[in-house]
Amino acid sequence: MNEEKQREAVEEIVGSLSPKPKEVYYEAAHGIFDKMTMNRFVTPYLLRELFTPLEMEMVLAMPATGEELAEKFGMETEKTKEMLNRLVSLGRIISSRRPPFTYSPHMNAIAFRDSIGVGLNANKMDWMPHIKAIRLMCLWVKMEYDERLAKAVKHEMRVIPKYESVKNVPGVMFCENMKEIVESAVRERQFVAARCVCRSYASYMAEGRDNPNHCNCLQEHGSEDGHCFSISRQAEYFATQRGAYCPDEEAAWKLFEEAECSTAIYTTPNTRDTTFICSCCADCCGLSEYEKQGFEVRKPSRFRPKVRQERCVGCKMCEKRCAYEAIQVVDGKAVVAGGKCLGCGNCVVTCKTKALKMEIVQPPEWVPDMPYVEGWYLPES
Amino acid sequence: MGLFHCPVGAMTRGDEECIHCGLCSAGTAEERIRSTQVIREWLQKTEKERNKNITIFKVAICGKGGSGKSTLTALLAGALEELGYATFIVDSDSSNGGLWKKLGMDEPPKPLSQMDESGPDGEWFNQSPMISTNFVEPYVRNKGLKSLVSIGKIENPLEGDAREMGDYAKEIIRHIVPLEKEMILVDQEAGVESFGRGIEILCDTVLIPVEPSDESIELAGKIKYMAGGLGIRRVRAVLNKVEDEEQEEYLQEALSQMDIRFLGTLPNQKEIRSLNMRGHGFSPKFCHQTAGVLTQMMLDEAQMKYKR
Ligand SMILES: Nc1ncnc2c1ncn2[C@@H]1O[C@H](COP(=O)(O)OP(=O)(O)OP(=O)(O)O)[C@@H](O)[C@H]1O
Ligand SMILES: [Mg+2]
Repeated sequence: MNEEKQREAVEEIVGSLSPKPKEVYYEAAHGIFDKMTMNRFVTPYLLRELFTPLEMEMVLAMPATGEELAEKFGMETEKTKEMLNRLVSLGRIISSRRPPFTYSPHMNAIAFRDSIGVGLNANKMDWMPHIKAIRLMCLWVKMEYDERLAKAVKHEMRVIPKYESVKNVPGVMFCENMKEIVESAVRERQFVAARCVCRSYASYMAEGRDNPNHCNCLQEHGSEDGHCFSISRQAEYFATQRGAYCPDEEAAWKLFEEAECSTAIYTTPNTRDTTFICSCCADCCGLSEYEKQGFEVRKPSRFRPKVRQERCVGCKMCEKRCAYEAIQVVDGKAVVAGGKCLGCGNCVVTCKTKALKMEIVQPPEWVPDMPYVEGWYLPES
Repeated sequence: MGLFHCPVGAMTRGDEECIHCGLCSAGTAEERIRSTQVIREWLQKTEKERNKNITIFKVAICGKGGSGKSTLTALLAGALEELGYATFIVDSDSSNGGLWKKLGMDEPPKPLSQMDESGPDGEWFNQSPMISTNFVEPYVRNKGLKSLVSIGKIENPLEGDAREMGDYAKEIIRHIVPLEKEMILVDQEAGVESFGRGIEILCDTVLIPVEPSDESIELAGKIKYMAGGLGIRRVRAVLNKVEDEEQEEYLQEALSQMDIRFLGTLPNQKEIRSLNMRGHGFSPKFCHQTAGVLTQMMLDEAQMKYKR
């Protein structure tokens, strides 16, 4: 967004642009947070909502331990830690879990956005008293299409197909096999589930309240929220620091089943090493906002549905369930538009006549060992 | 600065998962390239450890009598050879011993159960760790990248019973450590009786050849159930002796009902029968032609790389 637009939007949210945020917020913006956003005018205003000037000074001195910060700011150690831990619990900063217990700022825009929301939810707080911060946050992470930017964010994430859609397909890699991922995580007690922060954002932004029925996810998922899955090392973090729920085996499989039959699209960072799986459906997912703008944030899975013509009865169920208009019934038969399809499997799992069958269309190298980092950086504005 | 998430999934800079690649705070292109290098090195260094719960080390091939266990073992070994993997094959079937012929070997290995462990043979046999290259002729036979040992047959029913042989096999499979790019294959006895002896529990993967017969399907279900109880991570079927698409679909559906994944199909092939009839070996090329795709699928599922 150009600066003029940003100004207007900020003014609309905070009332008036003056007084300007204190110098320390600009310092933090330039030193740390501006690198994450294209909307740099917003940064200091957002930071002012999230941190007191003293807290902001401390963030600027991070990474550091509680002891180091206490000494630097001439404060009592216990008091300092209390203050910092509150910020951690609210998702505003991060702390390591083992000695020397360093505190650090968030370094990734979407992770920061999510963390703020998760923090409020974990503390069972109403978002309305913080709504300015929430609205500024949404503004801050917004992007308008531009080619360089599109390159920077392309394929950072990847779609994992619904297990049910590939259970009869040979050659499904471990990192594409939801059942095995969940199985092994549950076995190691490294599987946690959290409430969907995207839905909270969408609901508060549109209605000014946390309406569980704001989107269809919940009815689809089942009665309760909680299908944001963290795996392995991130699971421990979300369980210990963000109040995420560590289901027992039975509960884990229930959550999995619910996610399976919903129109959620399993999305994970584009590496073979699965640390979390977002199961948002397209109507409130943070990523689909970007996709609507034309950013290809999600890399399709290696799978595509193939239509077995003789079985298709043209019921259009697949068409209804597809978030990308990638499958359409033409002359009574389903037709897949290969270029639009992300291979999520949502159409396959509900095909009553089993006319849709997944096929592998990409080699294993499609899923990189090396996380995607080429376009990791936002262009300088 | 990343828009989304840390490339190694660390929660924070300086946290225990942080590999200090510096990517999250890098500002310039040079810094970014340096970070990428650090990540690449880390990935290489930790590959084994990261994949240790996914990699296939030891495979038990189980199924109904005559369903094609030995045939599958031989085809798999040959296909793996073509794909760049060595195999150490344990013939634990104490009732028939034709596997060496299928593997194209000139002689059968001398059964390990006939070895005098207190003699000189005990020395190499009891070396720790137990690796395939410790085994010496005539107890091992080699052909290409394939090695075969056999546990032994009961020649005189008064001399030993199958149970003891099973324990012997178990010791070997427990202790053997596969080398780099090597896989242990165990050609199991028919049926599920051997499951009680617990060879499978020492394996990370169970493969079941399933032929178009109700008994074979049913037994696959039993194996899957028992393997689940033992906590074996990967159970996969291979459809064998399939004559047409209808049989293939039927078997796929039946397995799917029992929640058994499959790797592919071996059609009913005259050439397999002819080779078996004459006691000829399966060449790696033939194995690759016949079972190459399903072997690749098996490796893909375990995210293991191979030569193409
Ligand atoms: N795909 C195939 N096409 C044609 N014939 C096959 C096929 N697979 C196996 N056979 C035949 O089936 C018979 C049994 O095969 P095999 O010996 O491999 O089974 P097995 O399970 O090892 O038997 P056992 O239980 O006796 O050890 C053999 O005669 C073999 O030639
Ligand atoms: Mg046999």
